[in-house]
Amino acid sequence: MMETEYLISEAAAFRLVDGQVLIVNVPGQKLIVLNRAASVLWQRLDEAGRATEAALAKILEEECGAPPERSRADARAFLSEMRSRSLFVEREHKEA
Amino acid sequence: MESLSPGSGQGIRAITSEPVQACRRVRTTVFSGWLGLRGDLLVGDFEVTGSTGLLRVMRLAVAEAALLRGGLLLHASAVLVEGRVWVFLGASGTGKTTLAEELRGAGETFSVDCSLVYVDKGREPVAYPTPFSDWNGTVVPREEHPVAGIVFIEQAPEPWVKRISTLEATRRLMHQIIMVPGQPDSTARALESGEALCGQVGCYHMGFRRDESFWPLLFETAREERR
Repeated sequence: MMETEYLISEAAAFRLVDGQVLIVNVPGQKLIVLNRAASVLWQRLDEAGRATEAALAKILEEECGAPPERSRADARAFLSEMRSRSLFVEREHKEA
Repeated sequence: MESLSPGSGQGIRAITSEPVQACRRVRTTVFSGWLGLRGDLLVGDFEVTGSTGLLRVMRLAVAEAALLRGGLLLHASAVLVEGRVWVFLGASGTGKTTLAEELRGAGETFSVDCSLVYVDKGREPVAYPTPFSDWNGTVVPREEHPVAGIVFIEQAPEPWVKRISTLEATRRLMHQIIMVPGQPDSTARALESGEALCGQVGCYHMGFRRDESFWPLLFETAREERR
């Protein structure tokens, strides 16, 4: 079964400042500041190199104490937002 | 690559060892500007007589060279007060030039329009005036001075000052860093140095009226913070 993984785009320059991630979308020269929950997701994704929506939801559950349903919705919204700003790239991955 | 800060005595060599692509014809001019800043040579007759286009190329050349070494060329005016430099940033028309030129005894004009700030690990950030031209076309041969604070200004009917967080200051600073657009590496360096700068000095948001009334307010805010 295939699943979608997400990676941070090479066009994104970013920095963790005061617990929040500040991102510059370099081609578009847009500056974006993530809130704390989104910053946690960004950092974990950066550390792991890639992540699925389910993995990001799990992070929100474990690190932010959000209930499972809310975590899934927030992870989906986060991915949608980042994709719309061209900050993430997707690739299909065959589940083991 | 040698480590560099302009005041370390390595500045000239390090900059010349890495010419900025597409700027070879203006290298001498750019480096003369640096020599003047470091005080190694007499540069009293140094003048930029090129076109606006040349100045733009030089500005970007210096900006990119600075970014490689922890420096930031800022769209900012600066004022020297008691041996320390206050750096003022803001959108065009907010009064940066007025502020730096009409000091009425509050301090000395350090730079107008462009300022260069270096952030080295283990030492406090230092500022230089524009390294290639001043607002009237002449390089002011000044030594480096430590940065007292970063102040983002906007026009206001009455002066006010508030301290802002490192995050807020870094976000604002990113809009005032001169660099070649569309370069991920340069942008990442700008973010790193910008955060380091804003984390090491006091950063303020200030309502500015075109008179000297904001200075006591700014100094008092900074003093209270140090206590």
